[in-house]
Amino acid sequence: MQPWTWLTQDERKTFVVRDEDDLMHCRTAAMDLAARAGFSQVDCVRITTAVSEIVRNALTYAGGGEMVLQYEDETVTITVHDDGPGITDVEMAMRDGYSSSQSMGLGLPGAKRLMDSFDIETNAGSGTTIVMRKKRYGMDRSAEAAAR
Amino acid sequence: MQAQIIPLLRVQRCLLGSIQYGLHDHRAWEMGQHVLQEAKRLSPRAVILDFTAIPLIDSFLSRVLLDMAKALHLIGTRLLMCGLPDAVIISMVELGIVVPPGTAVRDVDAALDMVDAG
Repeated sequence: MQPWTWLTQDERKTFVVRDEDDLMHCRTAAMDLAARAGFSQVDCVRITTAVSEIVRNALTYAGGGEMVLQYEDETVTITVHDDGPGITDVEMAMRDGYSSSQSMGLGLPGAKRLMDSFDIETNAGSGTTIVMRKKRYGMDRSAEAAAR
Repeated sequence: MQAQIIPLLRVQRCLLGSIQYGLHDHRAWEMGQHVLQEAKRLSPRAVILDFTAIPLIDSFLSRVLLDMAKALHLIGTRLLMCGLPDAVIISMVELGIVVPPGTAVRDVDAALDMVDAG
C-alpha cells in the first residue's frame, strides 16, 4: 500500500473516459486528490459526487470523453469534455428533473449545487465542456490519520 | 454459479447486506437484481442495507435503490437503509436525491427495532 502523501504542489492529470471502469477511475482519482489536498470529508464527497454525475453524462450522452483534474491555489478544477451531440437547451437541462434519457435529471443542476462554480459550454452538434471548481477552506488532516 | 454481489446475511428473519465500496453502475444494477431474487426466494420480513462504508451515493445508485424499494414493495418486503455517512447524506441532499420515504434509519439495531414494531 502506498504511503500517504500530502499534495505539496500543483497537480494536473488527464483521464480518458470510455467505459464504466474509467468512470470509477475518475471518481477514485478525484476523491484521492481532494483528500490529499486537505479538503474536508464533506467536500471530498461533494467533489467526487459531482465528478460521478458529470463524467457519467459524458459516457451516457456522448459515449465517452475526457476529464482533467487540476489542483492549484487551494482550488480543485475539474474539466469534463466530450465530442457528443451537445445540449440544445441548456436552460432546460439545468432544471431539476429534466432528462433526455431515463435518468432523474439531477446531474447538471446537482453538480452545480455541489461545487463552488460551474460553467458549461455547449452547442448542438459540437460537444460539451463543463468546468467546475471548489476551493479548499482550512485544512483537514483527518484523512491522513485514517490512512495510517 | 455467479459470485454474490454483496453477501446477504439472515438475521432475525431479515436479510442484511453491507455495501462496502463504490459500485460500478453495472454492478449496482446486478446488486438490485440479486437482492430482489433473494427476497423472493427467502421471504424476509425486511431487507436491511447498511451504507456505513460507501464513499458516495449519486443519482444512478439512488435510482437503483428507489427501483429496488418499489420492486420489494411489490413482493411485500420492506427496504431499510442504514448507516449513511454524514458527508454522503449532505451531498445527497444537495444533489437533490430522494430516498424512498420511511426507508432510512440510523443503524442496524434501529432497523431491526423498526421491523419488530411492524
